[in-house]
Amino acid sequence: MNEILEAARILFQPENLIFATIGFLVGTFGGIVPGIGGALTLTLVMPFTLGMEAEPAVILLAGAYTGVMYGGSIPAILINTPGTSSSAATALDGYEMAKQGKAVTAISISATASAIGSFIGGVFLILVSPILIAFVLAFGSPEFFMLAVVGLAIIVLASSGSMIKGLIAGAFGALLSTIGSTVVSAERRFTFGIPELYEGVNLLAAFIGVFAIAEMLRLAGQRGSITDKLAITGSRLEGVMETLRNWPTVIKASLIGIFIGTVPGEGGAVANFLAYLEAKRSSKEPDRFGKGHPAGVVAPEASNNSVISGSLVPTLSFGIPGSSTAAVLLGGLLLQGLRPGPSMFDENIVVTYTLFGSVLVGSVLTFIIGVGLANWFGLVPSIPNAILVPCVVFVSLIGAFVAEFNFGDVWQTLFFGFVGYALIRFGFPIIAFILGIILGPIAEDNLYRTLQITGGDVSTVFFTRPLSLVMVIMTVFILSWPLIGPWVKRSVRAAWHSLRER
Amino acid sequence: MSDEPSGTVQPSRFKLRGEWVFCAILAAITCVFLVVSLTYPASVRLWPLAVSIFVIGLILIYTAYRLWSGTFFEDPEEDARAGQAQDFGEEGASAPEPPANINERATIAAGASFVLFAIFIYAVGFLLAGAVFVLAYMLVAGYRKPLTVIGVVIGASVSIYLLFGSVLNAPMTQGAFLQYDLSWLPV
Repeated sequence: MNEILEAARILFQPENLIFATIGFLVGTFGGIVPGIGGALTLTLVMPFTLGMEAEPAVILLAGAYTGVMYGGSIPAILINTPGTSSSAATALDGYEMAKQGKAVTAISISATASAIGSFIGGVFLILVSPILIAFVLAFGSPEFFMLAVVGLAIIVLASSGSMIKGLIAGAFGALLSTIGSTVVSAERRFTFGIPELYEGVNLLAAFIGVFAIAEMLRLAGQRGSITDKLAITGSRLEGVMETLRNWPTVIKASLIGIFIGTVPGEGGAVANFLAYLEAKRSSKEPDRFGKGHPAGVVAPEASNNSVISGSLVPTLSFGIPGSSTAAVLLGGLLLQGLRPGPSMFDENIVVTYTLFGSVLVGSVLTFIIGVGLANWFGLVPSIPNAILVPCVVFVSLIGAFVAEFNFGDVWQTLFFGFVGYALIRFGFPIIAFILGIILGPIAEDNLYRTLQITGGDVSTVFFTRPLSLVMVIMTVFILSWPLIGPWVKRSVRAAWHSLRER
Repeated sequence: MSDEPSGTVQPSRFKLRGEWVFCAILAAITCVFLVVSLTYPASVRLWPLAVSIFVIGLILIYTAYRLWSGTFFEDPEEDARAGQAQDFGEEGASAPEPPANINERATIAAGASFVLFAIFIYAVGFLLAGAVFVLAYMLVAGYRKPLTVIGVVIGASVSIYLLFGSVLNAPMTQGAFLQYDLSWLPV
């Protein structure tokens, strides 16, 4: 309880509230501009957290995360182009509302639903934290090693496209993370005599490269701006009231978002569609969905914001982020010297509660700023690529440089940018690659510790400890899913149809 | 005559050629890691050795699978993407990353310009290099509104100087060949 009060005291310090607001506004901007998105926005915010204490840093990042999730809905509503994949379903009814002259109403619905979704998610996090603490403290080195393996396997399975490509990308990321100082001794590996590689892969440079530079290379190949937008008309109050009228949908969608968020590899995009489909299924007027039904905006927006809270559970507990944006957030924590796992619920518990509290503050900001500036936010999405690309590249390269004032990091950023672009272009999931970089050192560290505990014999340790054994079975199951999955899906579909016929 | 703009190539053709080149590069880099890791003590090499063998094995399996399934020269994921779109049950609702016509030459030119920008930063510092890069990129990309161009160049330079130079103390005006002093500015 004392830790929660301490976190609240930190959170409500004026400068931290300002950080939360700045983070939210930057995040909203990043969400609004199609092509930027959550991971890139958080990546660009990360350099500014380097000189900060851990608490203000997580407040800034959490503010940006909340802002991105809300901001993505605005271009979805105004120009039928989701700012982030987490707002894809919002476009179905949001854009229809905008065409009917209710753009501001739809944006206000989005802000209100997002705020309530974030709030429910934040309360969930605080309620569930005692259970999380007990669970995480039961893990030892063998379990954490297996967890890193399970994490990579889950992400690979959940990534779109070929599973084997996901495995290649993840393992290659893990391989690159072995460059530089080792976790097991003072010896340096794979530096090839290049001094800039002595400290290994710079996490910030890798993030900026993979998310910012790669994305800008992709945008550079597309001409013009995103598209023209519609007139910004409608009522903010009507938007708020519509959301409150649809309160059962808000609660249901928020719970869907929390649940989906806790599943690593899933995330806002899946929650968005599931919540939308559930709202449509349970609606008294399903035919109005897709034609500008307010609940068609309420459901996806409440769900994608509550995903934030859900995704923090595996991210903080086990270092397995639920989405690429959560992966960047995890990177931000690592840059602060924070490591996911027991320490987040022990010596760093105040930081953890501050992060949870930031989600609640973010929900209030979403409502106040989101509804208040609904008319103004609509002006942003029309930035042409010819302006967006050079400005983002400029910020990215200097952002990578300021991490350690080392020009070698600029080259690392470009290297990871080209690798990231190739991964995107040739259908390799970049989330698996970046997770390989994050989870690789964690896996090696815990493998080495396990070797020390067992005197070098790891042949049985993973099979004799219950939690570890469960994770071995999970890994085998996950990796064999492509073989057994189609059969399971067919069986479930057949069972579902026979149930419906009865 | 094709209706496509100059420089646009069919994505699948480029993609398939590029995919195998990329796989070959990954395999080559991994082989280097594998060979070098053999020179390290056992405790230091265990993890990278295991991972590099895993990567090479996966690439070989992937290549063998594509050859075996007769999709070596096709894009096997197009059907999967179409399937995913149908799974959502909403017309046009999902379509994650649909294949689009991409101007590969523009992408390659942009990549080259990023590298030149980095070299220019090294030579003259972030501020001047950044201003020139933003200006040049906008002009080359076909942006021709003078007031907007000037506004963006000045706006981006000033705001980045304030954020990174003043707040984070980044040496914005120091390059290897050119250094200048802006400390007289009232910021």
